[in-house]
Amino acid sequence: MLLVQKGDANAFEELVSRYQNRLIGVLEHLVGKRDLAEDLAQEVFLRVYRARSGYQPQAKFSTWLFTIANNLASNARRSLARRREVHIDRRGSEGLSGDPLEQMALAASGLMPNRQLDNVEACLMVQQAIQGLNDRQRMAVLLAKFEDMSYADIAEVMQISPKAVKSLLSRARCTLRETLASYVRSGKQPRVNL
Amino acid sequence: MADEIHSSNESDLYNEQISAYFDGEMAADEKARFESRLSRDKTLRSQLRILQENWSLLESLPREQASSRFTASTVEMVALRAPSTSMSRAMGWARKIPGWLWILLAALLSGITGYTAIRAVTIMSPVSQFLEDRNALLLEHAIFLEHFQEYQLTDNIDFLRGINEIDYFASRTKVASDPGILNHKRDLIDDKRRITGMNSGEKNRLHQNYISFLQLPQNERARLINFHNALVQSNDAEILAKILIVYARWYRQLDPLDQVEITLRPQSDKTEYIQKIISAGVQSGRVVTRNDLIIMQEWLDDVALRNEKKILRFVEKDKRDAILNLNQTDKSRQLIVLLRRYMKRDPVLLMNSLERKKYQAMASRLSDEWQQNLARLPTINQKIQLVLDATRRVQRERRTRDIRSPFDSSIN
Repeated sequence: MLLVQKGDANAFEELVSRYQNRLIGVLEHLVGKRDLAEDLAQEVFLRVYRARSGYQPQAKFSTWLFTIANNLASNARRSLARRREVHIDRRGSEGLSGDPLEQMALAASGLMPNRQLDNVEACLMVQQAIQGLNDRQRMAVLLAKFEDMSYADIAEVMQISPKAVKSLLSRARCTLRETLASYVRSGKQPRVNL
Repeated sequence: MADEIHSSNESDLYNEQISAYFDGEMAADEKARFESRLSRDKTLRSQLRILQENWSLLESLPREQASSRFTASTVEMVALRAPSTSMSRAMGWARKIPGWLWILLAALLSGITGYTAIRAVTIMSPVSQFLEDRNALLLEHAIFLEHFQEYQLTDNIDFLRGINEIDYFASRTKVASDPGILNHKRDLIDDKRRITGMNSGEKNRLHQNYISFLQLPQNERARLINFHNALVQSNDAEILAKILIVYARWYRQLDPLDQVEITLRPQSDKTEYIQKIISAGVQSGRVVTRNDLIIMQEWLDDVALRNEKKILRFVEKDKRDAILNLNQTDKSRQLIVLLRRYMKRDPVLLMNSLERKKYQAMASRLSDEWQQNLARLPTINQKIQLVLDATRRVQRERRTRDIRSPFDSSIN
């Protein structure tokens, strides 16, 4: 980042390439759309570049990056809500589209009693659970899980106190535990109430 | 009440402690106290284990990869949009220059630009020519390139026609939206404008397709282009374009082993194998054919209207009055939505003897595969739930694809 600050174009390219996947991954979970996540990630890098002169070397770069990403994602979600856009899961397909719980209802309906849930279903289940969290909880979980951030770093990104992060993560984990309870308890065979 | 609040606060504190311990965010003395409690408390250990299990389940979330063009397009975009500080410094310096010098500089600059432009047009360098050729190729085949991946999954027009013979695909093709493959009459300017108007994701995908296309051997490239040209010029082009997309969507959700199996099979028995996979899907209740769906839908309409009073008991007065004032089709639509919602609360809604009889009549009209499916379920409640789930699933798929079918109005 120090090289970027000095205007080194190659260093900026290296920076983009090093953080792009992590950034798009988090943004996609936050806004729910791949294309929008990519556009937002570009906007984040643009803002990083524009604000490079204000970067403090003692600050952790990833914290700074995700602070910008968090602000942009919040704005994007607000404007999406205003436009009443409907989230369409790009991973949806003929056999796996629709409500993941419905698919699992079929799997658990007795048609395939010995069938183990495959990875796709596990992934859908976890995605459903993550989407069930509120925006702030989701952000805290993503930063803690995939960015290995400490409570202090998450607090800085989300502009809240470390104590609030502690409470946010704890509540998020309780929600996840409730959502994933049947899945974990019965050895990867979810219980679905019909 | 005070006790409840107290216990809820205690439980929050308890959960926060487990969470903080798991994250390694406890002070040393607090950690020692917690570990001592952990060694004595079996419930606490079990809760910590559940937290660990849930947390590791998050590993199954997909890790997104940026598209191959992302880095380059981001750097380009930043170069265009970020104001350069050196530029602003230069502008400050420029304000001090007298006006007449600016006019002289502008005249000089326009002379140089004009000269360079003429040189560039008359003597094109081999590199520029190469890039121009590539751009021309991209523009010429833009529509094909947008669907390049779908073309790669199919063999030729005969294969597509064979696929369209299968009821599963034929029914979906009838309601599929136009994929825009036949818009070949547009001129190059339109294509340029369309590409410029794409969002970064679409541009990246087009670029990725283009790069993959260029990496193919010459004969394969020619085959795919010929396939596309033959498709757009055929008499049944509209259907073939839709079947191409519908088939590709179906193929992509297959088990990888089935994908390999289809790819390796000779074309003569490929269609037969595809039919076999679909039949297996039908047997597992994942696929509903058009005819079965219509029968289920008619039955649902009938049930909803017959149970009108029961269903409307669950609804507030204003909404009830609004529903009662609707025409028959819209009313039945609303009633089915409510029926689905309240069935879970009160399964008796569909359990009287008349409903059972009607259900038997409906079930006997379904395809053999669906009758076998229903026969596997022990209770009528489960059977009805399967029918409801199946119709709802198909409806959701349709809504996701933003397609209007002739009988959508009655499904919704």
